[in-house]
Amino acid sequence: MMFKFTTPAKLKKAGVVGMNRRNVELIAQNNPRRLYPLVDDKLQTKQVTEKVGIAVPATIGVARTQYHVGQLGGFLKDLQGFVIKPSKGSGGKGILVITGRDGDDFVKPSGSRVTLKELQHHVSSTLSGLYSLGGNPDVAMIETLVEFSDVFDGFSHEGVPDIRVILYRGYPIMAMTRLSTRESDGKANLHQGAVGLGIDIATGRSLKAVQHGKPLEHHPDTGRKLSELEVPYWETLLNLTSRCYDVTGLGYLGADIVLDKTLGPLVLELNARPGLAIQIANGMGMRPRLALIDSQRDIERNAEERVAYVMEAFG
Amino acid sequence: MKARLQIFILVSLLLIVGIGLTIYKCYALGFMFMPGEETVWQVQARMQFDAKGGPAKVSLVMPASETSRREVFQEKLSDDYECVFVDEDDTRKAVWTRNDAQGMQVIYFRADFYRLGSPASQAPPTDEIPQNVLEEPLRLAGVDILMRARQSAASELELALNVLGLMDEEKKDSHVQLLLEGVKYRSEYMDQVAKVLAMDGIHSKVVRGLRLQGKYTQRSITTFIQVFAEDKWVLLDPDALTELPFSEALLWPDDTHGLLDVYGGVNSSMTISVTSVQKSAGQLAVDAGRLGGSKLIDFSIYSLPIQDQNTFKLLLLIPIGALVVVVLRNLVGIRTSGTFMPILIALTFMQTTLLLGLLLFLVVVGVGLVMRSYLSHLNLLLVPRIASVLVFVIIIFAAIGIASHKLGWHSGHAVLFFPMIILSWTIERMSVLWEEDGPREVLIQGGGSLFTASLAYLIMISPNLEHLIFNFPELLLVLLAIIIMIGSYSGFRLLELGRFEPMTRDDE
Repeated sequence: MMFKFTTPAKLKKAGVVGMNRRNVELIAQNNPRRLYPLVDDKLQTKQVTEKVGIAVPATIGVARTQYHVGQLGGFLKDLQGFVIKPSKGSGGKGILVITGRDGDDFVKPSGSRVTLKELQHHVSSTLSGLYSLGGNPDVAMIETLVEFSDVFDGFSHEGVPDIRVILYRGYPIMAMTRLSTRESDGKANLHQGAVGLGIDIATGRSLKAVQHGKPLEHHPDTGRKLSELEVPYWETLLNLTSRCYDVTGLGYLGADIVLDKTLGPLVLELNARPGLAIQIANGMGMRPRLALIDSQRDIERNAEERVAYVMEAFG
Repeated sequence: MKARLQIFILVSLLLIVGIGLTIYKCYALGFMFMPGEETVWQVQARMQFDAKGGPAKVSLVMPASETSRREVFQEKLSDDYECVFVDEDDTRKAVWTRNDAQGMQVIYFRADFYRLGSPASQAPPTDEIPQNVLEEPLRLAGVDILMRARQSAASELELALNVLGLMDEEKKDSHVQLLLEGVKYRSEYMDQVAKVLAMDGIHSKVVRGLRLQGKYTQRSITTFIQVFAEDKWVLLDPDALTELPFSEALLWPDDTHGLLDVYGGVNSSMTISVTSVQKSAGQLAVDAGRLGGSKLIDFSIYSLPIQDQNTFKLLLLIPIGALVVVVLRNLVGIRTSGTFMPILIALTFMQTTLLLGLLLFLVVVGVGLVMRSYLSHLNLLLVPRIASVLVFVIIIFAAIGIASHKLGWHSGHAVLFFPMIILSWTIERMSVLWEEDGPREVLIQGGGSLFTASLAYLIMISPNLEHLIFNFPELLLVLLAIIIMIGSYSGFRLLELGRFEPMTRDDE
C-alpha cells in the first residue's frame, strides 16, 4: 500500500483534529471520567434517556441472573423477533438478532436456527462476562427488533447502517453513516474498506463519500448513487441527539441513531470517545466548527435551539 | 488553561531539578557523562616498630587534603589498635592507640586516590622573601650559580630548573660543593636550592610527597620543590629535572617534618607501596562522594548492596522503554497490542538477544494463536480461556526447550525469559482482534508491538545510556518531564499525516 504524507501545516489549515487533540482537549476537558459508566453500560444509557422521553428501541426485558436464564423459554414464548445484547459489550460482540420463530426454535436473519438451549447458553455466557469489556459480569438486554426504514436500501452491502452524529457541548457538529461493502465483509469499519458518507448537518443530505480515503460516486457493490441519500426526519434526529447531551453531560459525545420504519429515529448507543474518521467522511476538519461552538459558550440554549442554531450556522 | 500552566511549572521544575542535580554531580562530585576508566592509586603504608610494653601510640600525617584530589577508599588494618583521625591546624593525622603493646607491631593503612589535581592553595605567596638568606661566602657561590643558570633561561621556571640542574650535576664545581657542604639529607639539599632561588626573588617551598608514576610498587616519600613562577605554583621533579604535574604526586602539607610518630616503641619504620589499577569512573565518583560524606550519595541507589543495585539497573531502564512507547504511540501513532507489553518484550530481548527473541516470540505467539483459535469454538468463559492459553504457552515453552536440547541448540532455553502471563494475554488479545477486525489489524498491532519492543531494546542496551541513567538517576525527572510534555501535546501524530492526507488534496 502506498502511503502519502501531508504536512502538519496543511492539516491545520484543513481544520483537522488529530488523536492527541481529541484526547487532550475534547475528551479530557469535556468528558469527566465519572460520566463514562453512563454510556459504557447500555442499560444505564437507556434508563436515563428513556426517562426524559428520548426514543430508544424498547426494552422487553433484562436477564440479570441465571434464574432469569431458566425463565427465558416462557418469557420469549410469544415473541416473533427480538434482539439480545450484552449491556457492556463493545464492537457489536455478543448481539443475537432473532427475526422469526420455527416451532420452538428461533430464526436468525441468515435463516439459521437457534434452539432455546443454545439461546440460553448465549445469555448465560453474556451474564458471566464473555462479551463485556475486561470480562466483567454483565446483564443481557432483550430489545424489540428495529424495523429498519428503507432509506438505506441499496446503500449498503449487508445489514442496515446507523447514523453517527458527533456532538460538541450538545451541538451536533458532524454526521456520517458508514456503509458496509463486500470488501469490508459487511463491517462498518472504514479501515476495512467500508464507505464513509458524510451527512450535511443542515439538511440531512449526503455530502461526499470516501472509500480508502478516495472520493467515490457509487456504492462499489450495489452501484447506487451515493449522493441520492437523504435522511428523513433529520431535525427530529438531531434534536434526539442533542437531548442526549442534556442527560449525559458529556461534552464530546457520539450518538448512533437507527431509523425505524414507524418510530422514526431511535438512539441505539452513545459513545464517550467517538473517533475521528467522521472528518474523512465529511472531507472536512472539525476545528472551525468546534471554534464556532466555543464562541457560543455564554449563550444558554435548549436542545431544539442548539439544533436550530447549527442547522443555520452549518448551512 | 490552568492545567497548561501547571504542566508548564511542573515540567520546568522537573527539568531544573533533574538537570541541576546532573550538572552538580558531574562537576562537584566528579561523575562522568560517558562510561570510562580512571587510574586509581592504591597507596599502602606499612608501619612497623618494636613496642616497649605498655601503651603505644602511632600517628601518621595524612597527605594534604585538596578538593581536586579524590580519596575513594580508606582502610586501617590494625586489629588491636583503636584508630581515630585528628585534625590539627591544616594537617590531618591518623592516630592508632593501644593500651598494652609488646613485641613487634605492624599497622597497615591504605588509601586509594584518583584524579589528583593541583593543590587547593593556589594563592600566591604573601610573605616577603627574606633577604640575606645565604651568608658569605655562600652568597657568592649562589650568585655564580644563578648567573650561569640565567644564561640559557627564558623564564623563571627554566631558571629554577637550571639551578636545580647545576646543583645536581656539577657536584665537582667548587661553588656547588661549597653550598652543599654538610648536606646529608635530600630535604636539606632542597632547602639550599630554595635559598639560591630566593636570592633571585623566586618564591619556593620544599614539600614532601610521593611520586605516583610508573609501575614500581615499593617507593619512599621524597622531597620536591615547588616554585612560584609565572603566577602559579609549579611542582618540580629534582630527579628528572622537569615540571611534575600535580596529578602525578601525592603531597603532604607544607612544613611537615616527621610523617610518622611513635610513642612507646623503638625502631619504627614505614614502607610505602603503591599500585595502580583501572576502575570505572562512575564507581570511583560514588566512592569518593561517600567518603566525603555527600548526602546525595548516601541516600541514593549506590547505598544499596551491589546485587540490589543490579536489579535497580534493570528497573531504571524501564522508564526509557516507557518513553519509547510514549513517543511511538503518541508522536508517531504506531498501534501496539497492550500498552506496555512492548517494554516487557524488550526486557526479554535483553536476555535473549534481538533476533533469537523475535524468532521465539513469533513461534510462541504463532503456535499459541493456532491453539487459541480452537478454543474460540468452545465458547469458554474469559478467565478459564486465558488460563487455557497460559497452559498452552507453558506447553510451547517446554516443547521448545526439549526440542532445542535434543537438537543440541541451546539457545532454545532462552524462551524461558519470556513473561508467560503477558504472552498469554497477547495471544488472547491478538486472537480476539483477528476475529473482530481481521488479520490485517493483527499484523498492524503485532508488527507495531514488535517494532516498538525492538526499538526500545536497541535503545536500552546502549552502554552509554545505561551508564547515564544509572549514574544520574535524577535524569528520570527529566524523562518524566518529557513524558508529561508529550502527554499534553495536542498536535498531529506522524502517521496521521498519512491518514488525513486525503483531506488536504483539494487544496492543490
